[in-house]
Amino acid sequence: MTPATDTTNRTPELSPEHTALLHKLADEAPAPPNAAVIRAGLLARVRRRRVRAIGVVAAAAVVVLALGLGAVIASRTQTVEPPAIAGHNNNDHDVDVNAGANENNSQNNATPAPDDGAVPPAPLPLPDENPPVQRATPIAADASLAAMQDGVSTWLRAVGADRARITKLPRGGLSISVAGSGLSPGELSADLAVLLQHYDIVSVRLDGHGLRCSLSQLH
Amino acid sequence: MAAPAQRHPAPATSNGSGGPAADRAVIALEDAALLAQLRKRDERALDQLLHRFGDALMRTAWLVLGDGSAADDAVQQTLIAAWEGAHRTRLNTPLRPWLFGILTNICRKWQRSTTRRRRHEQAAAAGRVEVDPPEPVTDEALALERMRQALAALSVPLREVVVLRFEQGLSVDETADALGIAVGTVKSRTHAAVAELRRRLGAAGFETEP
Repeated sequence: MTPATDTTNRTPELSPEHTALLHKLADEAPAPPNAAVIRAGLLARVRRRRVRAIGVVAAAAVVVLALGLGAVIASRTQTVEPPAIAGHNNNDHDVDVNAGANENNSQNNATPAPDDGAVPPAPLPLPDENPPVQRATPIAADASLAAMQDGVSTWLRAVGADRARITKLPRGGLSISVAGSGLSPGELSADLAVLLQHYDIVSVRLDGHGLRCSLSQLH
Repeated sequence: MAAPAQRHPAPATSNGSGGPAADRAVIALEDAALLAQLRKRDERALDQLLHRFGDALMRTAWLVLGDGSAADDAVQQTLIAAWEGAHRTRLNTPLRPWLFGILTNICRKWQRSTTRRRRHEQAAAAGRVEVDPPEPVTDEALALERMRQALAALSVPLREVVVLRFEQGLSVDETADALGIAVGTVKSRTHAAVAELRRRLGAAGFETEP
């Protein structure tokens, strides 16, 4: 009876000759590994797991440390603002590119900033390839400032910045913080300088962190 | 090379006086004791595992993989996996099907990982001059070579069934347990495998058990 015609519930078997051949073929198998080899493999696996676990923990610690450090640096660079000058017409306008991240800075102009001893950083000149445009122009009016904020916000969205904030500083400067745009600080400041020429912004200042730049308006 | 009978150590307590049922009961007790030792991470259990199943696992891996070093690695991984996974197993688990199940899984992984590499190697060797293997001299060597080729020509699922059923002597139920498939699947694969071997080796090798 062949398998094709076998309709009973019997299981086919190999012939004794072929089964013997199968056994002889299996006899050619090498000897199994000894217990010492198995134990060595077991130890090696345990070691690999330990090393992997240590690596994962170390990597997680580095990530947490980096995130914490970044958060500290970001908080310090964002909270330092120059004190207000009494009598100066500072229209505080905070424009947040990202919804929900708005920082409402509605202090009175005459009210001095919190006395934290912070000294406003002096504007630094741009690198040679992007010389600041020095113009002795008055501070932009509210209308032009709003237009400038709209323009800058549009541009920041266009370059894909995931965090950006435009703040009118009490002393008369303008701070634009950009992060995640993918542009280098030089490219960012150059583009912003060109863009802001339309709005009487006269200098661009980098704070040295690479992803952040500030623009100041001379007065 | 040792004879097959010497490479299949019989259970220590099996003296043939109690019949197959008694032997099975003794083996089940031994399995439970060994499994309990494994769960306690007793290193002597590793020696016992090797003593009782090392040869059988090696022969199976050798026939399924056709590669000595791969078979060695597979057996080593099987025993390590058994050592580490014993606590997840029921205490009344029959050790033989359980170990063969681990082994066949490891063999499948190895074959999957080497399939692509072999394809690359074959493509790289396509332009080279092929050297024929030396011709077998004796009839027995010729028959062995034919069996080797016929076995290698089987698909992996069919080869596993042939090796477990006819080389290791596992029952249909044990084979189903080891491979994690239904009894009917074991039977259909056995049919297909035997038919394929018969076609390749000659019609004289096929019989049907009553």
